[in-house]
Amino acid sequence: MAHIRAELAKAIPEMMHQIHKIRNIGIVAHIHHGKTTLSDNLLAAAGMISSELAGKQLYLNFDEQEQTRLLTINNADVTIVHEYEGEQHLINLIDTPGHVDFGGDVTRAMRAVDGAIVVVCAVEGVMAQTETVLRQALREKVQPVLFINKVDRAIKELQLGPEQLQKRFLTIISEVNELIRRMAPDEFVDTWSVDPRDGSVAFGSGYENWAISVPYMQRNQVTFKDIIDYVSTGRSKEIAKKARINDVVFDMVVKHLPSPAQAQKYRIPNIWKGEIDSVVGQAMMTTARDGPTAFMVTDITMDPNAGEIATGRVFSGRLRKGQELKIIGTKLTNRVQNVSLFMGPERLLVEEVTAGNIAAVVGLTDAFAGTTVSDAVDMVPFEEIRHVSEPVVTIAIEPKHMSDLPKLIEVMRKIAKEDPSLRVEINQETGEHLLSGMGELHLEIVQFRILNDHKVEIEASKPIVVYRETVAGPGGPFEGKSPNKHNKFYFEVETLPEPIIRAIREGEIAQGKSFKDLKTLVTKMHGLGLAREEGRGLTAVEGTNMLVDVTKGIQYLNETMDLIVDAFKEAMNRGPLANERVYGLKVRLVDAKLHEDSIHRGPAQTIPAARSGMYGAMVLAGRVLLEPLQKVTVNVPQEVLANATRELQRRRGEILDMTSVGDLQTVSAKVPVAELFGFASDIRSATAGKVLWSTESMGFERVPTELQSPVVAEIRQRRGLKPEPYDAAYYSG
Amino acid sequence: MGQLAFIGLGLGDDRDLSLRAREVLRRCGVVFSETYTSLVAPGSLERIARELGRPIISLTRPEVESEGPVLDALKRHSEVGFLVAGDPFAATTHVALRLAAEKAGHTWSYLPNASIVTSAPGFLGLQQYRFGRVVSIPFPAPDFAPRSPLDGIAQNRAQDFHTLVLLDLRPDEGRFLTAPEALGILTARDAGSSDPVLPADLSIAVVARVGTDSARAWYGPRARLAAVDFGPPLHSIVVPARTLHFEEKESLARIRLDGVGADG
Repeated sequence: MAHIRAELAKAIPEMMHQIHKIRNIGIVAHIHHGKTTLSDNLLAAAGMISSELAGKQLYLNFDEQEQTRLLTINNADVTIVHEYEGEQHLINLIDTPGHVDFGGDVTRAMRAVDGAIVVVCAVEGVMAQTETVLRQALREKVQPVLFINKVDRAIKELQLGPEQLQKRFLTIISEVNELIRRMAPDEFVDTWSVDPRDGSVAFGSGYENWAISVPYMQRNQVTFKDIIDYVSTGRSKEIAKKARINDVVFDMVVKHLPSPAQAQKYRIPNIWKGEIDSVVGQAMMTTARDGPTAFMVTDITMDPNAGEIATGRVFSGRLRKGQELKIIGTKLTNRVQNVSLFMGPERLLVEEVTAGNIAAVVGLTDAFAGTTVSDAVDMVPFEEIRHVSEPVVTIAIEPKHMSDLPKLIEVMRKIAKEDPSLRVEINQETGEHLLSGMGELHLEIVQFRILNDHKVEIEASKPIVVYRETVAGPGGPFEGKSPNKHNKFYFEVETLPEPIIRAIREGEIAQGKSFKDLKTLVTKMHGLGLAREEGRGLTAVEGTNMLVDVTKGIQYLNETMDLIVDAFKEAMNRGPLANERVYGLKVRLVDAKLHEDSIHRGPAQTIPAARSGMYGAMVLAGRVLLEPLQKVTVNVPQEVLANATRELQRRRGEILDMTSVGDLQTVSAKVPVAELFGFASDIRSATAGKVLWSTESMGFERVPTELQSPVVAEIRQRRGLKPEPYDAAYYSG
Repeated sequence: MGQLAFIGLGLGDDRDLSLRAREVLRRCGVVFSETYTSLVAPGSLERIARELGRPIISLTRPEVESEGPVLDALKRHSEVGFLVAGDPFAATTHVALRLAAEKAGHTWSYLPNASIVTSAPGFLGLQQYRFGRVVSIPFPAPDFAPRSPLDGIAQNRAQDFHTLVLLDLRPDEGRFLTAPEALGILTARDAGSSDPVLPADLSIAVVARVGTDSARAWYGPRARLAAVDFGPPLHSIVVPARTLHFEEKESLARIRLDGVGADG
């Protein structure tokens, strides 16, 4: 092993320049479809780890936490050399998590790669998260190939014959292709579907270490029947010797997935909105290693020795030790201490990493996941990496020993930097430190890390659901008065059309208060259901909410508008019902009366006036509390199906779908997150442990009417507010 | 129903309170003061309280703006005093409180006093008739950098009017915008313009502590005044009109750049 590594260390620096022989890929899958076992065995077969350990050690799950839970949490990256048709190729492989609680990581990993191996379990078939991860890949213009895994189980447990097995594969393939057709970028709808005949689909067992494809079967005259015979008679090792998993899978990768040189031509315009004809634009389009350095950080990890390691993709130029690089979007410059390639938990230090490769860098202390780093001061940053799902659960934490408080705050900041799907709020005044994440499990893991990796003992509150507020119908105009009574603002509110909310969430309508090419945007928003008058008055977007100014010719309003936007942001982040974030609201400024003198309409006057006006209009419109829901998918044997269903139903769950394959039942239900606490252990005991389950965000829905008042009162009391929200009269005072 | 007496304290100290105002104050069942919009000379309120033999209740901004304490007192007393630095209805206006009292069925009375709005022009020898609208410079704050004060000066100059420029202050926080700071804010907003409103060589006036024993005035090029130490607050700026009446011209000519000559 050491021998292979040493050779790699010698070969890789040379190979990373051969841009057409590089493949940057990720492996994505629904949870428990066997992605990590596949990755491990690919590495073992490629000589990166010993084959005895592979499959047992879960090499890529090198975080202690990950191994005990048998889950992949963080991306772990590795560089492999693979020979295809007599030529050496460099494959940079990124492992991604399968549990939906860590969806943020998958999105980020997709920015770094050009191709993805989509793993689908032959027993379960295409699942909810298969669709999610495929969407995340296709949105980043990452090309997919398909690996149908756990074929051994399909043969042994479902006892499928050659024809049934073939039929099953075809079903999976056509379902995957249907998803690709639906979600692929327009220009690739026809060319990115996978086809077993050309070898862009492979079948096998990550666990048993073998894989085949149709071209392989033809070449070696193997039939499905042969495979079934081998597997069902316990002779899998023989196939594993002939049809080595790494050969088949990496051949598929090299043959069907694009090199950085090919991919960057169509990916750059998708992920970077700068001038394509500019020097840096051209350098990235041509993967020029002598051009300006353009590096996007997709992940930050903490190394006990090296400290913060920024991993990401070099789109042009090179990264080398000692280089001074700008952290775009700040005025800061960081110095590169060293650069390396990842080899699982180890890093291979190299002189430099050049365009088209994935690099690990120490020294970029001011970067976080999503940061653009360049030697060109004025480089336009890469598009933000968007998280489709928002945090739905919060815990409050405090140090067990008060003397640890400064350290805890530092640790929380670090963790937030590593994991952008986590939201950290540090309130110096109240001493309340909040962590919000994608689910209960996500937060448990974060707590474990604080204790285990950062050695801070903490006490955590019970998990709290993150709610949203909106309105039932249109409301207003409502008059908000400044404390000195000299200024008045009039607001109306209503919910935004659903397509507009979606466009905001997808980042097609930017956050903040400056909008590029407003004219085109107005037309686009008109098509999505927003009146042109309102589109032209677009003033700010905060969260999923929009402030539009439909007034005309009011003197001094322009120099007051930034303060109104401040009030809008504040109001949207703390709704009038329970101080929760507001969702999908359109706030219309319809009139304003301002004092002549600027001091009389400063921040202390304008902000409260505008805020009261917005809150009051929301009261008139009817305040509504929204709760997060998740789609819970449970796989159980027939004998415990009733218990599992009961467990879902007693949690206000609404059964969406029930299917069965052989003895295996799949139930999916829509369940409020508020009811899901403790689900992991309850479902385990209800089914005697014979259960696999996963969750997926289903957005927010209205809290049942009869529950709204008590839930609101509970949230308000927790925040130290009086139980009933204020009425309209309060806001007109 | 009660009567609310709006009483100006003027620009100096307790000695500027008129005899008639003192008479009204003696009748009042309760006396409030508002000391957050302008500076009251230290010790003045204490001396008035001693003279009246009763405390003067100082109200904070939220208390005045909520109107609660004043309206409550009017229900209990036939006359309530409300003391304000300068004049109650000039630079800072308490008309909102007056309207609220009227709407609640109370009456009001008005005991005017000197205001910076008339005293600054008077001190400089400029004619009240030739002033355009008053502008004010707020403390710099995030998301609030109004250009309208500069535009106001430009419009007044275009119409050949003088401009009185008042400067923000928060006496309750001990913060006073100084003339050099205000000039800095104005010129920064003017920067890069091909036709600046306040060119470096434009002669302007600064007055400090008008109406007190240490009142002073300065007149000279904007750029040079920006470097002067005008002493303790309060400061105001006057940007003269493009043309001056001969008496105005002579008055300004007697004010020197070092601030000597106008305090006689």
